[in-house]
Amino acid sequence: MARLAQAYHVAPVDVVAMPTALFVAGPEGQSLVKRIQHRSVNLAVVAEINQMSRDVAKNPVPLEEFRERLNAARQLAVYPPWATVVFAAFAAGLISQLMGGRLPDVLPAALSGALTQMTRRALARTQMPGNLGDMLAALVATVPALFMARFPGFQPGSILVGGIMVLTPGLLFTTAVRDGIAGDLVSAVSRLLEALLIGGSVAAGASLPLYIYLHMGGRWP
Amino acid sequence: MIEQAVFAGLTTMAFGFLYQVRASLLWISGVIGAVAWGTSLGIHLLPGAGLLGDFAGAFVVGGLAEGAALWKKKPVTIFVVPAIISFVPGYLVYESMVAFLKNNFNGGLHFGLSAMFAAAALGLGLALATALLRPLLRPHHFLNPR
Repeated sequence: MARLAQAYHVAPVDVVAMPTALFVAGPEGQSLVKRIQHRSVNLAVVAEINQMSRDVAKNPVPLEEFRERLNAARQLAVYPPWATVVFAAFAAGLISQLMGGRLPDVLPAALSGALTQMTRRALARTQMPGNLGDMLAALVATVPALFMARFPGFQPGSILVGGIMVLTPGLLFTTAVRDGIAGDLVSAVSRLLEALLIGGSVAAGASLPLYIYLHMGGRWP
Repeated sequence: MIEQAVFAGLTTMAFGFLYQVRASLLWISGVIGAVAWGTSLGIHLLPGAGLLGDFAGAFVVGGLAEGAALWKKKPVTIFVVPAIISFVPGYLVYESMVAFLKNNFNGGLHFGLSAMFAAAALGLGLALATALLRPLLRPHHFLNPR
């Protein structure tokens, strides 16, 4: 944002960006406070806005044109929604192999990942709080593992972990570390707290069906 | 070991697709993920390595991602986030969860704390890579007077 302000000769500008709010102080007492209520992981938007700020620093386009590009970037999705379900399935199936799984676990883990992503996408369109959505998505992720647990030769743990890894708050964790190093301590702590809350929600969502299954005497190797 | 590294590379690419990273950049993330996982596995073979493998893996992810970001002029997060996912101690968290559900509190605490320390090792690896390599790769950011 500082780069953009410099390109448009707006000075002095100070920006405080946090996961829950954005504060911008401009010249002559102008200020902007924007509360952030909805957050998601879309690295295409990150890349596009980075590119836009680089382009504008070199060649400042009219503000109206910049606004249009910004609005287009906000909705940017490189891949269609159905494709993210397929990617989640691939991701879950593959990561199950790094989590102690064997080849037969790939398919159930992929199914678990696909179900998780479908649930998460469906719930993201509702007014449901994000953490509750993650909890329900994790709950759905346990279904293939609980079903396969009765058959020998499968590792239900790896299947379950594959499915719920789709919900891992990797971006939050990474940016929390980077913010901490950069000295943005409030942002770092709030991102870390959000990552912990998501982790807790996922663990709670996965625990409930597993708890019921175990107490009904289900087989769990 | 090579098979595991290939799986890690493919996993990184799959997570990159999921996070909407363009395919033209994903092969780089894939290579970073595979090299980092290979390094981590290699270090795990050393006696008494403990969490050093996780730390080294995260350091390699952070270091290579800084280089890739500079090369492609893209944000570092695009390369770090998909590659670090493979290192997230999901299995330890799962084992802790199952131990607690089976009323094995000692086991639950053991795995839970191990997961926390593994996450801390990852954080430290990423942080050190950023703190040490960024000034070397982008000296103009750090040498300009305020």
